[in-house]
Amino acid sequence: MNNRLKVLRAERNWSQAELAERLDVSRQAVNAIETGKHDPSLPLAFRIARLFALSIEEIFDDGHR
Amino acid sequence: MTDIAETKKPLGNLGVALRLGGGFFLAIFGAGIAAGVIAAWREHGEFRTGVVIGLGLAALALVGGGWLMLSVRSRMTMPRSPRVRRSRMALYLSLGVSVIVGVIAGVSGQLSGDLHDGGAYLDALVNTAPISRVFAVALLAGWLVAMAVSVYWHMTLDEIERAEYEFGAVLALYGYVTITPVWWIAWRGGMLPEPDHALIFVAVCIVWCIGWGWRRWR
Repeated sequence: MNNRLKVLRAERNWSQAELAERLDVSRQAVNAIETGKHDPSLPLAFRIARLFALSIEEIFDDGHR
Repeated sequence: MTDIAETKKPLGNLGVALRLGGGFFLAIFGAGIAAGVIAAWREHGEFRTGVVIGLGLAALALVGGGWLMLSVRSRMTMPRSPRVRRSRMALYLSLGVSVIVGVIAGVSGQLSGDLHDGGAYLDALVNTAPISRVFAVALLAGWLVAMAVSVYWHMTLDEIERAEYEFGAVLALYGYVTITPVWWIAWRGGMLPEPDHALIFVAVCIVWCIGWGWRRWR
């Protein structure tokens, strides 16, 4: 699944560690999501969406739109 | 006047591993020297200059090893997220208890018995010679504490870390349900010696680590 997490993070000038802290996950977890190695669970996807004040669909794209 | 806060440069993973590993081996080296010198002293019964020098060297190695390991504390970049910090501390505690149990088992020599001759250290894993009850209880207590901390650590993992860990665990389970019956049936059929629980345990742990590592660094 594609996502815009890296772009959104860069726009805010946050490091992976800073984003990880805000999401209460490890830095490795942020890296795994950004590189598409792991698709987040629904609760984590909601946390990410709330943090960036966007909808889940605006951040994640499953290629079916 | 500018107040400049003195900060130490954080260590990378390699730096932490080198310091912890170096300190650990230096401490073990020191403990070995001390054990050897004290054993020789008891055997000969004389407090010679060599004993003083040996004990001095052992103390230096122990202090140096301890300092190397403790120096990591102030140079590590601990995660600021409370859950991740708890998870990291639980992992270190679990590893620490396991290392202490391992060192006690290794230094006491009870698990390896008289297998040191000929360099058969790996045979200690499959050694079934009896051990004292006190030693067994101490080992069991240490192991159970390490397992309890490990379970707590598992509960503090985030979903990505947990998925990596559980992928390895499933792989290990498949390894277990493959190796055990195959070996057992092959033994019954006269093709292999009797299944060895310790070897199977080690093999399962190795498969677990491979699965976890593959998922983490693929």
